[in-house]
Amino acid sequence: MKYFLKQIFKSVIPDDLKNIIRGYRLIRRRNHGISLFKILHLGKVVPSNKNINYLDDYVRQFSIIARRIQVEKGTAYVYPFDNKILRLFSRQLICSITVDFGKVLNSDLNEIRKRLEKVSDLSFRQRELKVVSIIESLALRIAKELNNNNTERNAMLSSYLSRMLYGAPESFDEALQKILFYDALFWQMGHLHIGLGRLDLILKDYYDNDINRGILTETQAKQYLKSFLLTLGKDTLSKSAGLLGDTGQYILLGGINSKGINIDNILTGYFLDLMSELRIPDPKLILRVNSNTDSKIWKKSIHCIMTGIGSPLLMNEGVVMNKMTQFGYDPSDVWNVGTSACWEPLIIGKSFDQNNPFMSAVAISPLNKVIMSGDYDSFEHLFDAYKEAYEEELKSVVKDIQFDCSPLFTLFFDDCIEKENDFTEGGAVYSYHGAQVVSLPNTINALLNIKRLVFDEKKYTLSDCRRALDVNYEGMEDFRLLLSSTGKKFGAVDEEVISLTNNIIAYTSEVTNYLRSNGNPVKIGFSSPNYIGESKNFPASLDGRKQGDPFAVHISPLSSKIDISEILEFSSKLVYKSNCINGNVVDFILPSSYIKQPDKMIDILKNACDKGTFEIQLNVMDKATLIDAKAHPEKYPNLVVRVWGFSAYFNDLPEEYKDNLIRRAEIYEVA
Amino acid sequence: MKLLRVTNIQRGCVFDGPGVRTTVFLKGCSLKCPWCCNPETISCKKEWFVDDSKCLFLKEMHSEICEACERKGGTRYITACPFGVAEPTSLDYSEEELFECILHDENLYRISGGGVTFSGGEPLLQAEELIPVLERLKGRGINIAFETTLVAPPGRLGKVKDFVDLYIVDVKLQPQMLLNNTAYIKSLIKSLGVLRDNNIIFRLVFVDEVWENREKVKEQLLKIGISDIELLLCHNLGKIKYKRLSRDYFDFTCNENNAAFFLSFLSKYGISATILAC
Repeated sequence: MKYFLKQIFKSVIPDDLKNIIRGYRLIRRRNHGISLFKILHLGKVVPSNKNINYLDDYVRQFSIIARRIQVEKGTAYVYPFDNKILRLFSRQLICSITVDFGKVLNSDLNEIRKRLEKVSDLSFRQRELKVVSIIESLALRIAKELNNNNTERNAMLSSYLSRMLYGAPESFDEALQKILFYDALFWQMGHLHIGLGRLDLILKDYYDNDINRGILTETQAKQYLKSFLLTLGKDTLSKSAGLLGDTGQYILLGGINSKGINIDNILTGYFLDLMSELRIPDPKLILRVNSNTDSKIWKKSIHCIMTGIGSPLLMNEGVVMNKMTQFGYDPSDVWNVGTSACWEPLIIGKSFDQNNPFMSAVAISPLNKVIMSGDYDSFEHLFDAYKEAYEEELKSVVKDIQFDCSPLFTLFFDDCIEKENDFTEGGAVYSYHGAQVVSLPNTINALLNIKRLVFDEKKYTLSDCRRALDVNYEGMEDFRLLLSSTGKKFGAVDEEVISLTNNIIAYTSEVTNYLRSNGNPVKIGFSSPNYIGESKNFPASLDGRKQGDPFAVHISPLSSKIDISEILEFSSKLVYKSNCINGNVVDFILPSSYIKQPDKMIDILKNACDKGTFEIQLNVMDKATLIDAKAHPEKYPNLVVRVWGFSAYFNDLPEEYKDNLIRRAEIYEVA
Repeated sequence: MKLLRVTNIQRGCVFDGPGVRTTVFLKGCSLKCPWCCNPETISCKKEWFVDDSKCLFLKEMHSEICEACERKGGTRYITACPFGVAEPTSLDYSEEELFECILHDENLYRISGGGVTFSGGEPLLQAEELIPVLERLKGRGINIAFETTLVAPPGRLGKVKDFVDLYIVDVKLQPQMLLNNTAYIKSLIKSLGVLRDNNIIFRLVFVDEVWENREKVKEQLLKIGISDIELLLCHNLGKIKYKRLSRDYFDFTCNENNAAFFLSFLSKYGISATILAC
C-alpha cells in the first residue's frame, strides 16, 4: 500500500519539484540527517532554469548561492563551502579537475576584468564579468562578517579576504587562505573531485619569503599546513561522490618543474610528515617520482604508506609524461602533469579532460558472450571472435556527452578567455576524455584457462564451459577450482601470460584509437574504480569467479603464488601504447612485516620505477587486523585503508568492500 | 648435466643479508633441527607437500575427475592430482635456469646493495653443483651470501670460498642440537679459521632452552670467538609444512622476554646480541 501511494505521489509531482525534493534529501544526508525544519530554514536548493541559456543559468545560480553561503567563524581558515546549499543542473557533472592553484594565487580580478573587457563576444564577456563581481561580493561580505566577529585571527583573515583577490598573496598563510577560498567555490558550484595539485611547488616561494623575512617559523608553517589539511578534510561526507571518502582531493608532491629540475623540497616533507601524523583519509597524497627524487622524500613517503593510510600513490612521471607526449599533449606542458582525482593523467590548469565519465568497459563480458555463442575449432579462432566482441564493448562505452559548464573555471584555465569559450566548450587547452577497462586480470585468467583445459589438454569442452557459466558452477565446483587455482595466472612473469596481456592491451589501444568523444581522441586505462560496482550483477566467468563476486582490482594478481616482486616485474613488461594512459595502477596489499625494513621497500619500488612500472599504490595491513576490525569496528575507529583511488575509514566501507580487502589481504599474505 | 635441487626461490627478501636479495633455498641438510621452519629442505630426496584441504574426495565433494584417484581406488597417484593436492617440494634447476632466475632482480641488487643468498637446507651440500652458477654470478659482480651451518663434509667450504662475499653462520648452540658437542665446536672453530678474512654474521635460533642453558651457551660463544650475534626468535610459521609432509610438529615458539633477558645476559660478557626483526 505504501509503495502504491508512493508511486501515485511520484506520478503527480512534476519533475522539477521531484528534483528539488531530492536535493533537500541530499542536503539532509550530507548533514547527518539534521531536522527537516533546519533543512528548510538553513538549506537552499538552487534549481536550474530551463528557460535561459545554461551558461547564463550557471551564473544566475552562482549569484544566488554566493549570497546564501554561510561560513563558519572562529576557524583557522575561512572555507566558504556551505553544504546546506546545493546547485541542481541537468547536464552531466564535471569532475576530477585540477586547477592550477599557482595561477589562482597570482590571479588579480582587476587584471582579469581588463582582459574580459577586450573580449568581443558580448554574452561571454558579461557572463564572466558577472562571475568576477560575484566572487568579489562574496569575499568582501565574508571579510566584513569576520571583522564584526572580533578576534585577532578573524581580523587577519578579513584582511586576507579583502586583499587577496587582487594579486599574489603577501604571505604563506594568506596563500593557503586564497587556495581554500577558491577551492571551496569550485566545490560549491557542484564540480566534484577537485584536485589541489602541486602545492609543494607553488607554495615554496611564499614559504621562503616568509622565512627570509623572519615572519614565519618552520613550526608555524607546519601548523598552518595542518590546519589547511584539516580544513580540506572536514567536509568529506558532503564531498564524497560515491563511497564515503571518495572526494578526489589530492595533493601532488614532487616531480620536475618546467625546466626539468626535480622540485621536491621542505614542504614536500611537511605534507608527508603531516599526513603520517594525522592518519586521515582525506585529502590524500600522490608523489611524482623520478630518478632524482630525494632519498629523504622516498623515506618519508614509505613511512607514510607504512602507516597504512594507502597514500601517497606513486606516479612514475618519466613514463607517464613520455606517453602523454606521444598521445598528443604538448611536450612543453607535460611537466605539469596532474591526475583526475585518482590516477588518470591530465595537465594541471589546462585540461578539461574528463577521465571517468563513461561506464567502464568490462573486458570479460565479451568473452562470456563468445563462449555462450557456440563452438570454435581452435583457441586462435575463439580469441579472434573475442577481440571482435571486445571491440563492440569498447565502442559501446565511449560516447558524446553534454557536460555541465563552468564559467567559474573559465576564469582560471589557460586560453578560455582568449578563445572566448567556456572551459567546457573548447576553452580549455585540452579536452581529451578517458575511458577505463575493468576485469583485465579476470579476462586473461579465463583465456589462459580456456586455452589450456579446452584446447591444449582437451579435458573440457566449450559446452562444459557454457554449462558452468549457466549454472554459476552449481554442482561443478571441481571445474571452478581447476579454473581458479591451477594453471598460469595474470601477474606471472611468464612469456605466454605477458604476451597475451600485451596482445589485449595493444588491441584495446588500436580500437580506442579511432573512438571519439565530443570530437576528441580518447584515452584508455586499466584501473577502473568499478571492480565491485560492475561485478555485482555480472554472471560467473571462466577465471573461476562466481556470479556477483568482485573483479580483480586494477593491475593486481588473483593468485597467492604471485608476490610483490613478481607483479612489479610483470607490470614493467606491459607495453602501454600512447593512448593507454588513463591510469594503470599496480595495486598490492603488503603484510605489515614490511614496516620493519622500510629502506629495502624503497629499493623495491625504485627498481619497479626504473623498469617502467606506470603507477603503484600499496595498502599495508594484515588479514587478522581487518577481520577483527570488521567484527569489532569500535576497536578500530581510525583504521584507514586504500580503496580504489582514495583512502577511507575501514568502518565507513560497505560490507562487500571490507570482504574484498580481507580476501585480497589473505591472498597476498600467503604470497 | 648436474642439476640443483631447489625448494624455493624467493625474491625481494629483506632479512637475508644486506639490501634486497633473492634467496635460493637448496634442498638437503645433515642436521635435523626439531624447530626447522623449512622441513622440506632437510631431506635431499624428492618429496611432496600434500594439502588435504584441497582434496575434493576428503571434502566429500563429488567430482568425476576424482574417480581415477588412488584415494578412491583408482590408478592415478595423488601426486598427479589435477587440483594440486600434492605439489613437489622442490624443482631441479640447471645451472642456466637458476642463473637466469637470479638475474631477474639484478637491477634491484645494484640499487639496494643486495644480491643473492643461498640458503637451505645446507647450501654447502650442493657446493659442487653450485660452482658454475657462482662463477657466473661473480662474473656479473653480484653479491653472494651463504646462509650456512658450516656443517658439511670436508672440502665443501673450500670449493665456494672464493666466490662468497658474506657468510650468515647459523650456530647450533641449543642443548637439543650441538651445544655440548665438542667435535662440532672444534670443527666450527676450524671452519671459521678458514673464513677469517670473510664477512661473517652469526645467527642463533633462540629457543627457551638457550636461556635455560645460558652459561654454557655463553661459554661456547666465547670459545668460538663470537662477539656479535643475531637472535632469530623461534616461531611456529612452519607448522603447516609439517602437516603437509605428514611429520609430527613440535612447537618451540619462544618466550620473547627470555630472549630479552638473554641479550642483557650476553652483554655482561662483551657479546653484543640483537633480535632479528622479521
